[in-house]
Amino acid sequence: MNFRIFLVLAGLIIVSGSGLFAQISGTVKDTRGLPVAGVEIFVEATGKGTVSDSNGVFVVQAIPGEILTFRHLNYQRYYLTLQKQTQDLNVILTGKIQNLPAARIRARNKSSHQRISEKKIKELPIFLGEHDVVKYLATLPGVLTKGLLHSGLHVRGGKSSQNGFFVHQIEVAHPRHLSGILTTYDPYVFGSAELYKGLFPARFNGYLSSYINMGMKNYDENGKFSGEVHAGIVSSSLKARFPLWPKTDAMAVVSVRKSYYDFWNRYREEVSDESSFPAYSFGDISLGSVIPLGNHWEVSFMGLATADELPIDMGDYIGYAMDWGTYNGVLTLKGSFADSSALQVSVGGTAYHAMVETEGRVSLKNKHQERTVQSKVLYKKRINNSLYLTTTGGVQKKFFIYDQWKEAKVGSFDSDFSLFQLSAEMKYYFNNRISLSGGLNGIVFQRETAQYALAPRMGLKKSFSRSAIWFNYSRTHQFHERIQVLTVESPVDYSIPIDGKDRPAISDQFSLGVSYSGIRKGFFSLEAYYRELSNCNEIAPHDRTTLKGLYSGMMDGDGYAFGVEVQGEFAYDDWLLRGNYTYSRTMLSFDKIAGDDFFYPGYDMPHRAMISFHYRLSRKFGIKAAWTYRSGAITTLPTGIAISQSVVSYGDIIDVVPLYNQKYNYRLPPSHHLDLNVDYYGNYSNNHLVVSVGVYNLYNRENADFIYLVPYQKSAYYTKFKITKRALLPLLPYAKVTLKF
Amino acid sequence: MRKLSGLFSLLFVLASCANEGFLELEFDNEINDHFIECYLEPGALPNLSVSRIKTLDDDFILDYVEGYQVMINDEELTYGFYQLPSGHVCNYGSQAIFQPAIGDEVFLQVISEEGDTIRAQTTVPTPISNLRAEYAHASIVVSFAAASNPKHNYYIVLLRKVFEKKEEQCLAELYDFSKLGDQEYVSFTLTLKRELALGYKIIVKRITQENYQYQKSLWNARKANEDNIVYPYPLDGNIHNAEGVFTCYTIDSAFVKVPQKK
Repeated sequence: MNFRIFLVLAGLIIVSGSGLFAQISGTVKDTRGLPVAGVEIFVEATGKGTVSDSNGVFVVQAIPGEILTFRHLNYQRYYLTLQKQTQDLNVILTGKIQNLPAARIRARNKSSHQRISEKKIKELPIFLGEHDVVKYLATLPGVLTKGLLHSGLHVRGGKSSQNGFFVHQIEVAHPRHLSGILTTYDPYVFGSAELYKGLFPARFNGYLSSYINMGMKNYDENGKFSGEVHAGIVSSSLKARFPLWPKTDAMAVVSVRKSYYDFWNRYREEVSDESSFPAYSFGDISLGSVIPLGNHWEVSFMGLATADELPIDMGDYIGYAMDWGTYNGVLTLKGSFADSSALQVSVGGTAYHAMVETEGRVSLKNKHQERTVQSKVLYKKRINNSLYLTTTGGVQKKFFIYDQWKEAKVGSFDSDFSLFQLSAEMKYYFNNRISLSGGLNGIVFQRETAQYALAPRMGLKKSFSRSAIWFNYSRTHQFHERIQVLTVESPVDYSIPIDGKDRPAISDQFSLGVSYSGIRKGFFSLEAYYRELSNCNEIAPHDRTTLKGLYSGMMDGDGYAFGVEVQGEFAYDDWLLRGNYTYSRTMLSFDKIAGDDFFYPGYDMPHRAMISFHYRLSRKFGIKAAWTYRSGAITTLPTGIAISQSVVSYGDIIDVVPLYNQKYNYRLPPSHHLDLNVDYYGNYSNNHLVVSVGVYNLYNRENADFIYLVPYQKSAYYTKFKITKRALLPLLPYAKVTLKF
Repeated sequence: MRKLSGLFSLLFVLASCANEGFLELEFDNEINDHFIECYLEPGALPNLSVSRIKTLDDDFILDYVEGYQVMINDEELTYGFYQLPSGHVCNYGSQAIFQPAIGDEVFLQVISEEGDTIRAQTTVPTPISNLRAEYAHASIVVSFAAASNPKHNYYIVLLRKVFEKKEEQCLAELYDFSKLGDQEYVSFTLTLKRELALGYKIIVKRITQENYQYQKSLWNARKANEDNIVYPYPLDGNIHNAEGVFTCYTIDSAFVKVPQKK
């Protein structure tokens, strides 16, 4: 009996490996009934694909329940859930709105400007079962994070407050979940993103380090309803795509996500009286809709609302209660004219609020709010076969509201500013290999007085058959800075605009790079950059217990950053191997920190290396792994200890006081970790099922997420301090079940 | 279901076991600085503590210095160990009672063995007048006349529970009433958490603006590095060429009896 079962199983394994019963064939045509050649047919579950021939015929391995994606530059993307095994599938593709200039043959520039797709995001191990645009960004060369719990990205040696996030050119609120752990932008809604670390398009200004512009993917699924249910240990989500009206191409997408870690945390407290991670909870809802207006125009809408809560109990004398949330909405009209020029008009708004309550010797409640309204118009035109023009105009208004309570309201402050921008950018192709781009962004910052700034951009690129070399220069400005509420960057940090006597911060970036695309989709690139930082704005030291301290103003400083980014990618059959290394240094100088000497700021992390691989073991199983090494960030330790007479603290005769006369004077040890993820692909009642099981930080329990001082007191006047490190998540397994219907 | 909840519990125990350990400190940092504290009270004996600031990896934190020349105005303080009523020990003091005139400026000068000169100055606040405290429904309402100088309208308020045979401190607060002017009254309410005492003693200290800023920075700096997320905070003292504070305060107290329930 056992031998017969073995033979059946072996037969199934062999047959499933060969895919003898998994072939689907069909024809792709357009709305006129003509065959379409060169259509990419991609099976999402297996990662395999094919291309239609000159007759539009294709053959691909797939089984019922799997989703086929049909992609072609000139046609709207088409998704089909396979209902049955068939050799006669007929697919009709609809023509796409053309906003792109004529295609040019050139090697990929994958360093200063990188495109991110949902497919790319899914090639990495998921953490707590969540794919996310921001988490993927953190794996790219030149984009660093200080650790798992730090909510900021440091791009090419810049601060985390120097990155702008946009949807269709409209700024949206900064990522507000505990980034690094939990997701912010769901790729189910935000299906594509572009990261600009250099070679900034002239239409972007207002942030020094990077711009991340997200867009919504084409939701056309042939007017059908589809969805996913994700059930994880910490959070779950429900996602759906559906037609807005029957028998139309207008589609909508919604993703709703809610965590329940706070409930598990309370359960653990009942079991063990210990809980070393706060009861953090979050929820968000993302909406998207694309409504075609004829063949050449469309209207789209994006909405995102988030809510978070984080209580932190630090002992008898102090505790924090924090809650924050964001609301974003962007409405876009875009299309093309008969002369192939393209127009995009976007309007949008964001609202952010955060409440931080400190309970202790001095009990305070701080609330801050930020609101933004913005509109932007973008126009692209091909002048001739060699010359392309892009112009934009936009206006943005930001409002800041700060309130503080003790027992009653003790302070309130409002501020606002306006930004007006005009930009023009031209790209000229000398031939199919050499291109020169030049642009200028003019920006006006209006608060009590007006400040004007010009930001030139320039790029020169030469492409060969498999390689490219480029040189870029960009100037960018920033008119606000962020105050950190805690020692780590957190979602409750808030922005302060510069005032009339401050100048905007300026970054002049030069970069030089080379790339090579080899056989079998191999890719390699190397880029070096240098950034000159002028008028760096840093919040001056201030009393954090009152609002008055906010207006001690900004410190004005200078600095520079430089680095090298190397990345490579290699794909072979079922393997995808990707790796990158970043060397990045930043030095700043402020007269009120370190006595005007240059110093390394807290986010200076010289080395970061990452290797990831994705291997499809079989039709049913896939494995993903990522190993990351990172230099330690810099923190601040006391330069000395003193014993102080206690005149306020009751019960204590003396206070042992750490003295801080320097900032950023101690580098944490480096950290490294391996994340592993195994996916199972199956079916459940004709619906596609994915079970993901993984581990974050498989082997290393020594990573220091934080350090702090622990006093050991032998007597009232004899104390020894030890630096204690804490790895908050030394190992974290997770599991997630996804059902696609 | 039991196995499933057990598995989740195991996952969370594994996940939540924050790993702690000690780092070897390699901190190349030499300090040659002093820490001085002096709280003067009119009508009391002056005393002051001068110590050298120690680095993190030193074993002995308190390093009282000897052989320094310490002068407050024209009065020289002598080296010794002077224990305060709170139990704190200072290393310089005088047997001459501190009797400044109201509004006087007071100067400090310390010359170290190496010849370094440390200086500071402060002013003497006016005495607190018309201090009243009334018990009202698990709280105490305190009022007194504000100081005419806004820089002296800062206060430390201590609340002590009084029992039959002992006293116990239960509250300490810092107040900023600098916006009040002459002829105005300071008034605030202290909320009582329990009413087990026979009565409450309210101690009000009128302090200078420099002392108020120093106490707040002291509180912030003390809490910094106790856990991961409290922001490092420099001390905000008023001594030139040293850390610490040189200040003067006036003091008054009142007693409130808790009505006994019948």
